Amino acid sequence: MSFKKKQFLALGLTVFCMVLLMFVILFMVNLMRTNMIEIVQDRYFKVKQATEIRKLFDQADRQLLRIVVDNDVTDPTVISDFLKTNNAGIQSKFIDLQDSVNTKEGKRYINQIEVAYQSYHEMEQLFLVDLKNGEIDNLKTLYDKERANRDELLINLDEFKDYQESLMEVSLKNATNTYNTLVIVLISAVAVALLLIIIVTLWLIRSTSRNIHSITKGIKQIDFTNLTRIPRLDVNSKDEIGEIASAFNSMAASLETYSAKETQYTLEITEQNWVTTHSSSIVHLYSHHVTIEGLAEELINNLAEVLDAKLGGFYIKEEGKKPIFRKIASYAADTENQAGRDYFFEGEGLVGQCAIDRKVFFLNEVPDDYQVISTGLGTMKPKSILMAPILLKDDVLAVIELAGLQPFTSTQVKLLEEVLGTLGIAITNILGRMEIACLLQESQAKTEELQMQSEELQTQSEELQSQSEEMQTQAEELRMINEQLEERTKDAELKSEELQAAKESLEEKARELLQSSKYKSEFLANMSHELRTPLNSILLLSEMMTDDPNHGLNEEQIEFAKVIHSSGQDLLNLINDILDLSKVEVGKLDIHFEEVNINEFAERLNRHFMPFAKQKNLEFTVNVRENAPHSVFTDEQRLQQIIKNLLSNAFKFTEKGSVSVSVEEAKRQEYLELSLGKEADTWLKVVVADTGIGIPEEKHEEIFEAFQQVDGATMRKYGGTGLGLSITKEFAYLLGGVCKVQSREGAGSSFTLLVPSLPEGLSELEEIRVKEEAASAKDDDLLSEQMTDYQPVESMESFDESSNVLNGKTVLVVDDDHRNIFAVKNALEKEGMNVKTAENGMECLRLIEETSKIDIVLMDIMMPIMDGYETMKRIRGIEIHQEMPIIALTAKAMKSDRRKCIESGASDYISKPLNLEQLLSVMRVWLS
Amino acid sequence: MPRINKEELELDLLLLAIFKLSGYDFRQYMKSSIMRRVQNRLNLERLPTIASLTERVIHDETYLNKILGDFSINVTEMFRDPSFFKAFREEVVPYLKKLPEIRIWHAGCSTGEEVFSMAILLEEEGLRDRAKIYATDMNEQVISKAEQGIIPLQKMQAYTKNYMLAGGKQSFSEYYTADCEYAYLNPNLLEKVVFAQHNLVTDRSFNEFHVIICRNVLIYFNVKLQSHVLDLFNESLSANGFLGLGSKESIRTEADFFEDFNTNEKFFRKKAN
Repeated sequence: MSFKKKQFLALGLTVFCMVLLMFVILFMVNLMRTNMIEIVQDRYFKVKQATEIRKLFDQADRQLLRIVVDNDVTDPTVISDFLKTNNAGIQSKFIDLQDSVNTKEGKRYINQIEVAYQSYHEMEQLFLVDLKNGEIDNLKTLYDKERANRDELLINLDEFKDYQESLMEVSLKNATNTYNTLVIVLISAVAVALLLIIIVTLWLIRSTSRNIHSITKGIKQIDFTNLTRIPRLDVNSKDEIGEIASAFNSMAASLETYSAKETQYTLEITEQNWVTTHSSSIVHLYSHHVTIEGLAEELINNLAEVLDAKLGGFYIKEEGKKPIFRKIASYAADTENQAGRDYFFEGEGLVGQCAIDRKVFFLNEVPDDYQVISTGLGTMKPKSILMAPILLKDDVLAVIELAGLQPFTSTQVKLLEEVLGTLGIAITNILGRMEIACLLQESQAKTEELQMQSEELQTQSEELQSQSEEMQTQAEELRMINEQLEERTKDAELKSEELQAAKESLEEKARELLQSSKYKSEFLANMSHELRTPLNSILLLSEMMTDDPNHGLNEEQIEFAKVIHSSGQDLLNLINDILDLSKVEVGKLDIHFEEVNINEFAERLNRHFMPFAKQKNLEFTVNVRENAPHSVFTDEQRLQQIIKNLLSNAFKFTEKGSVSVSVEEAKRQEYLELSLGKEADTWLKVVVADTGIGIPEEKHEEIFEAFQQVDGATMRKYGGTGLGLSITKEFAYLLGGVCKVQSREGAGSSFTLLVPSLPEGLSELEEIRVKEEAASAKDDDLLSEQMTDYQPVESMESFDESSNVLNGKTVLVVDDDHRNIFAVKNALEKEGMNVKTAENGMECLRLIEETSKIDIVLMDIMMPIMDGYETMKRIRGIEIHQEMPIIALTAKAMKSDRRKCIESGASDYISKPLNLEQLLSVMRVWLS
Repeated sequence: MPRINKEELELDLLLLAIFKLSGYDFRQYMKSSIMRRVQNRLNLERLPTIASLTERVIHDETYLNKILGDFSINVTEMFRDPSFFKAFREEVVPYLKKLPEIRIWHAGCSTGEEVFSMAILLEEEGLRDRAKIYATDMNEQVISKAEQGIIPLQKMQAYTKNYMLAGGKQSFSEYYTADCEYAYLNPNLLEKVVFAQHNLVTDRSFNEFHVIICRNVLIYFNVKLQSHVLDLFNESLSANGFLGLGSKESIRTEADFFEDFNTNEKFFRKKAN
């Protein structure tokens, strides 16, 4: 029976019992109700009617009795009416009773009563008639006669009533019995129903739970960790539980198959994982390598390890007429025959065939003579060999050969195939990368080469420039010398002015000198005349005044005149020296080679300097040696000037002792040493020696420089300009010779002059060279060093006074502060600049438009009407002023403004307050 | 008999002679460059072959000096490649500011313009008191020129522009005074600069530096010499020290002592072991 049916049965039974019980109860309640109705309606009604009848009868009887007893004859009609009514009531009651009484006993009672009553009623009628008739005495007899009847009636009536009451009690007793029975029946029915329900329920529960329990037990027995074997349920019932069991069994069956499959898949996935892991780790290698050898080495090592191979080789294909495969990496190879050949051709042997067929080859039956795998202890033969080509599309790029001691498993082969699949691309990539690296290297080298070449070109152009600069420097130097001359002229002017203060006439002459200085060449030409003549007269006159033949002057005035004289003398010497030197330096000095008679020359010297010697109390000799040439070809005037200069110096620096001149022919060795290279047969050597203060050795070279004396103290003591020796040196060069000094401090000096005898004079080329040399003094090694040493000094000196970059240039100063303008203007005008000023940007723009040539603009930033930024932008807006230097003057506090300055088009900027030197420096930079 | 390029042979002999005579070793310089310089000299001297020049070099010291002068290429300018100095200022200086003492080596400083630039830059960054610059070149003449701090006036306009582009913080004119021919660098700028003769090819490391600037020097060297010099720099750099090269240069050696710091401006940084 199914679970459902069982449940229906059990529940149905319960419902049925309930319904049954309900009907029993209803039936019994109804029974009780019938009893009650019978008791109440029937019995009680009959008793009541009997009672009524008795009452009515009593009433009538009492009426009659009163008449009889009391003789109370009131109105017979009233009594008659009353009796009639009474009789009618009794009659109706009798009818009711006759209708309702159904028992025989009762009917009998009713009939008796009725009969008795009928007689009584007749008596009444008679009584009434008597009454009416007034026969009262009769009444009593009549009434008495009826007494027996009346008593019988009353007894019957009471008996009827008792009978009916006894019937009522029986009924009540019946009802009580019925109730008791009912209770018993009910209790027993309920008990039966309950029992039935309990039995059915118990049966239901037991039969269900037993089956479920067997299923639970079966399920509990399952080992969930291992689903390969699941116990089946042994439930054969046809109910739902049976179905569950069979469903469970089929599920267990499918679980078992599933789990078996899962195990298989897991295995496959593990293998796949192994393949993937290793292949990806191998693929990962690709990116680490930039060379194919590195990759091959690591790849073959990794492959051999993973595939459990004991021997391996990697052959890369090299294209050629017949492609050759060359081994570039091997695993476990030793030096001899291990890991096989170093190369093979395509198609050569199995491995070559493998390359042609583009397939993986396996060899599991390895021949005996196959190469062996060696260990430290011995050697063994491989069991299996594997050859695999590495392909890219259809091209073989390389071949791998591996040998192992065990046959290769399918997984290993799978891994190999996996790896080989991507290896082709990797190899191509690496080859490509190697090529790219190569190209990159090449291009980098090319770039550097280009940079190098450009630098070299720059160097060359700089060299060219430096050569042209050198040319320019020479010109520049010439200019510089001119400038220096100008400066010296200015010095001379200064001196003249000093004289001017002392003497009016000298002032006149000095002004002439000043005028003449404007034109250098004219000045040079006219110098001797224009300067010497007035100086001569000054000297003459002052000397005359010193002598004071008329004694018209006092001592002080004479002393003044002496000062004027000696100053004039100094000035004259200075002018002479400067003239000579400058002429030499500009190459204007003419040299006339002529025959000079040595003896005459010596005689002149003697004559000229003897008075000095006597004046200073010195011994003076001019000694012409025997080997001295009779005559030499040179410029006598210059030669004489040289010797005179030397002698002047000698006399000047010698306090006591002697001064001597010796003239002889130089020895060949002496002039060759000098390597002057002059082609002359005869060289004249003149030595001027003194016993004076001497010259310290370190000064020997310096003294030939212009304005150089041993030291400042010497200069103050002995006077002189320091130009003498410089001129001497220059002249010596001009004559093709040289002047040297030998001296020790305190032990006198000896100057040696060597000049060649040049009958033909200097050749034109030589002349130019000599002049240039004299002018620039470049090539003389001794001197050039000194020159370079002194160059900075010279330029520093010139810095203070010469500002030829700025001189004559026009500067526009734009500033709204008049004091600033005044200060800047003064300073710049001192530098010889033309200064224009503008108070604001508008004015500046107007000036720039109007004035054709403005070389540089100094631009203040903070200005009314139009500020510096705007002004600069507008200036840069004008095409022709794109390159005009504009120096912005910014306030130091506003550092961020510098960027704005540059954006607005300033060439440079300097901070206020202005440092004059910085301002001049910047202007020199931008005007250079 | 193997084919020998006779011109190269001549060149090799010349370079050998120069090395023996002067101690200057140009044998590992880029042959192309050296060859061009030599050809240039041959043209100037109107000599037919390198061998004839070799002969003169051996016997006449002036020729030796001339050719040495030719080989020393002294192309430089102040704030050359302004972006380099700007990058130095913005990216390297923050590291230097953390150091108590900074040593900078300008290898191949030529006439010193870049050294002056560096001195100005350090001054503006407030590092002058802490920093010491070692400026070296193999050519003693250019070193002595550099020491003077004198710059031809006509170059100053371009330098001013470079200075501005390199992120200069002051007026450039604050660092020099000019007369009509030269600009004179303020002497106090060079107080912390040591000028010395040093030959990258033959001399060893002489100190440990935080920064080495060697711009457009390596391009004249062949790869072997370049790697030798880079070894030298590696030895001479402190850990994480900076190396600044020329704009077209790169590190092309196998050994990777250096990592890129600023690729565009060719700043490299020594790896910290």
